[in-house]
Amino acid sequence: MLIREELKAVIEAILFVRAEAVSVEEIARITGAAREDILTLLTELALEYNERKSGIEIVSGDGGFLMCTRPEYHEYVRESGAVQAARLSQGVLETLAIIAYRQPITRAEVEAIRGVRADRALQSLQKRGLIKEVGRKDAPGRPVMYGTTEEFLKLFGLTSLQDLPAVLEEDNDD
Amino acid sequence: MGYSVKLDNYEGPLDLLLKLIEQNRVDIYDIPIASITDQYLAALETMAEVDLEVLADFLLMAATLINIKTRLLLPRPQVEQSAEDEEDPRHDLVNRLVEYRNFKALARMLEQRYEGSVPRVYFREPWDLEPQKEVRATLAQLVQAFRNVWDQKEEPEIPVRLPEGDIDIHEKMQVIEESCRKRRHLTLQELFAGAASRREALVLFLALLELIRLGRVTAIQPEPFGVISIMRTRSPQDAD
Repeated sequence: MLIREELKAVIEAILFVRAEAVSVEEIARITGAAREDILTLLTELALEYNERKSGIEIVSGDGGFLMCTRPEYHEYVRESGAVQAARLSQGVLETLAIIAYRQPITRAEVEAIRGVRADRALQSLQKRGLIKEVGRKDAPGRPVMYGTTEEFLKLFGLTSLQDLPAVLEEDNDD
Repeated sequence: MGYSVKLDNYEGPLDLLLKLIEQNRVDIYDIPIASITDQYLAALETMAEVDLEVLADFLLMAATLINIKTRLLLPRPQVEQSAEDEEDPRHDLVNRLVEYRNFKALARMLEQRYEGSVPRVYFREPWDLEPQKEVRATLAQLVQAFRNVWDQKEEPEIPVRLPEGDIDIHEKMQVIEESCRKRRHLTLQELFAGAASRREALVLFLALLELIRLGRVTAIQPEPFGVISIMRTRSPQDAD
C-alpha cells in the first residue's frame, strides 16, 4: 500500500509518462487507490504546480488529467522547437474551424458554409489525424459526419472542446 | 473599378465577396448588389488558370448575385408594401457571408494558437505505441535462414586437407561488424555468400549470434518470411 505522498508522486509519474489525458479510473486501476483520494491528490498536485509557477501545469481535459506547459512561457516553448512547423493552408484551417465549432457535421454542410468543395481539405485533415468520422447523419444517403480528434486539441493547445474561444459575432439569423 | 484580383488568392466566392465588401467599405448588411456584382464578374474575367471545380463554385455565386440584382430591380407590388416580413432578396446571402466571416475569424484564431503567437499551453507527444514496422527476427527465424544457406552450400571437394581450426570466431565477428559499417543493410544472404564452406558458414553464424547476444548488431526482418538484414546497433561511440 502506498502512503499518501508516495501515491501523489506515482500519479505525477503516470501523468508525465503518459503525456495524454489519464482518467481517475485508470489511475485507480494502476495504483489500487480509491478514486476520491486520487482526485484529492490530483487537485493538490495541480495547486502545488500553480503555487510555485512551475513550467508545467496539470489540467483536466475531456478524458481525464494531463500535463502541459504553462501558457506564460509559451514563447520559450515555441522557441525550443517542440512545436510542429508544418503550415496548415487557409482553406484547411477554415474547414477545421467549421468542423470544430459545428461538429458533428457532414461534408455537404461544410461546403455550404465555405461555398467551395471541401473534399481535399477534409482528406488532408483526416490524414493528419485532426478530424475523424464520428458517425452518419440520419438523412438521405446517410452521409458521414466529421468531428475533431484528441490530436486536434493537442495541436491547438486546448484541453477540451469547451476551451474553444467563443464565437465572435452571432449570426444575424432568426 | 480599376483593380484586378486573382481568383487563386481567394478561398472561394464568399471570400472574394468579403474582400470586395471590405475594399468598397460598405455595410455587409446593406450591400450595394449592383456594383458588387459588376466587380465580382470583372474579377471572374481576370482569372487565368482555375480548375473547373473552382470555376463552378465561382459561377454559382455569380448566378446568385445576378438573381438578387434582378429581384431588386423588379418593381415591388404596391399592395404588399406594408408587409413587415417582406424579405430582402439579399437576406440569405448576407447570412452566409456573416457566417463565413465568423469562421474566417475563428480560423485565424486557431492559426494564432497553432503558430504560438498567443499564450497557449503545449502538450507532450505520447510515446508511439504503434507496433514498429520492423520486426526483430527471432532466433528460430535466424536458424531457418541459416539452414537455407547451409542446404545451398555444397561442400567443395578439397583435394588437400588443410589443418582445421583456421577459422576464428572473433575474426568473423570483426568481419560482420566491418561489413555492417560499410553498408546500412547487410542481408543474411550477402553475409553467407562469402563463406567458402559449410564450416565457415557455421562459424559466421555463431559469430552473428554472439554479436546479437552482445547487442552489437540487430537482425531485422521487415516482413514475415522476408529477407533478414543485419544492422549495427546504435551506440554512443558511433557518433564520430
